[in-house]
Amino acid sequence: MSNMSERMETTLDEPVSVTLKRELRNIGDKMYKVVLPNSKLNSANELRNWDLWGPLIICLVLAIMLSSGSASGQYGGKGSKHSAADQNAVVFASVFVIVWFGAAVVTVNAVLLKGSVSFFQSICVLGYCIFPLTLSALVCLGVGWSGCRSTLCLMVRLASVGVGLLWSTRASIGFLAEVVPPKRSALAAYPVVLFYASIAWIIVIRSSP
Amino acid sequence: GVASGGGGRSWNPISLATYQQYFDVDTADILARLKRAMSPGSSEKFFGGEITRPDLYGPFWLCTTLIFTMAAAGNLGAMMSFQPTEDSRVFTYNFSKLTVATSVLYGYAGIVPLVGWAVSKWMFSAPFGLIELICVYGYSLTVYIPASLLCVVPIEIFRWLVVAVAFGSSVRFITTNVKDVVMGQLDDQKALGVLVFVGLLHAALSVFLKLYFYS
Repeated sequence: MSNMSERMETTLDEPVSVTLKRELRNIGDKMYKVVLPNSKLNSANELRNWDLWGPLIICLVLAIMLSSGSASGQYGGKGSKHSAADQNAVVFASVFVIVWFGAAVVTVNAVLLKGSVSFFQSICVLGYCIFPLTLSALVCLGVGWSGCRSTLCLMVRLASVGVGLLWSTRASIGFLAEVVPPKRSALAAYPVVLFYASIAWIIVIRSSP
Repeated sequence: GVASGGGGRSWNPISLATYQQYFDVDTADILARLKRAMSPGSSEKFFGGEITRPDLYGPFWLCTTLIFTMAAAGNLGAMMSFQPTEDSRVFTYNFSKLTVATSVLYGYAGIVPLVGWAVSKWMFSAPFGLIELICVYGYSLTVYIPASLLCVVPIEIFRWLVVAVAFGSSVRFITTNVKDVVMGQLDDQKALGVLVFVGLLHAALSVFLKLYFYS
């Protein structure tokens, strides 16, 4: 008993920088586990200690990257109805809505199919698995901002998004397919594909030069 | 049939089990339902034979998939038929199309059956079942998914042809499943009027989607 209270005092007393460092290391650790090519985020082991900071950081980074498109000719001259700033705001909001609302819908779907999964843990898994797509977005935006319009550049963008999509889907689909009765795994897994595909589509759209 | 089903359905809005009963389907069930929704020439009813209980998985995810394919394919199609003019030298995508598509599709697939059910409950002695009607409208959208992908081809005549074929198959599915209740409760003239109205509503949806996304 005294041991525990000593321990609790310690984490409350420690400087903020130490807490931050430890939390960031946890988050980075999870991101690394997601990025490993053959990782299967098994609910029992890997992400039992779910947290939503990682997904929030990933989502924020993605939204900022995708909504910063004014420099690359995303707006259409005098005739366009929506200014670049409007478009950027809509994209930023859309990314947030799609990520959080989408993850929630996918999770609720699994629960309704008589799956046994903790709501926030599932959101955590889905959120962390967006990380490969964030890397793809980085590649795509780099290619887009260089202004290169050739077919090769288009292929590079599509390929990087495709790889990111496969990676993200593969990392999280195992988790969701396992929590529902086996005859329904495809029903629980399909929304995951749709979820990452819609994120991938936004990345492709917003990174065109 | 699409008429109000038998007992054995609990209805407690807060309990999870209420909604779980509408998701009590296996992969094989969903595949069978999709197949029946897409079969072109059959006058086979949706709820007959192996398919007895309605589900909400199909309608919801078919709507969502359609929104996604239309947004993606519509964008692709517009990009392909884009002609740079003086005013707009670059192609831009209007993201608010996504919000409109979402509202229109979920609204149509949710509100039309709701209104139809409410009216039938008020006027008929043997009304529609609400979830059955939602099911019918939801699954009728199945054929629009391949149609939305085909409409990427930037040839106007081809696009309208695809829309017409999809509309025909879809509206036939709806009327086949709805006409029993309607004809059983109204005289022939009124019943025909109702069915024509249903068809027109569906036509309005199809035309709107085509014009909004692919032009």
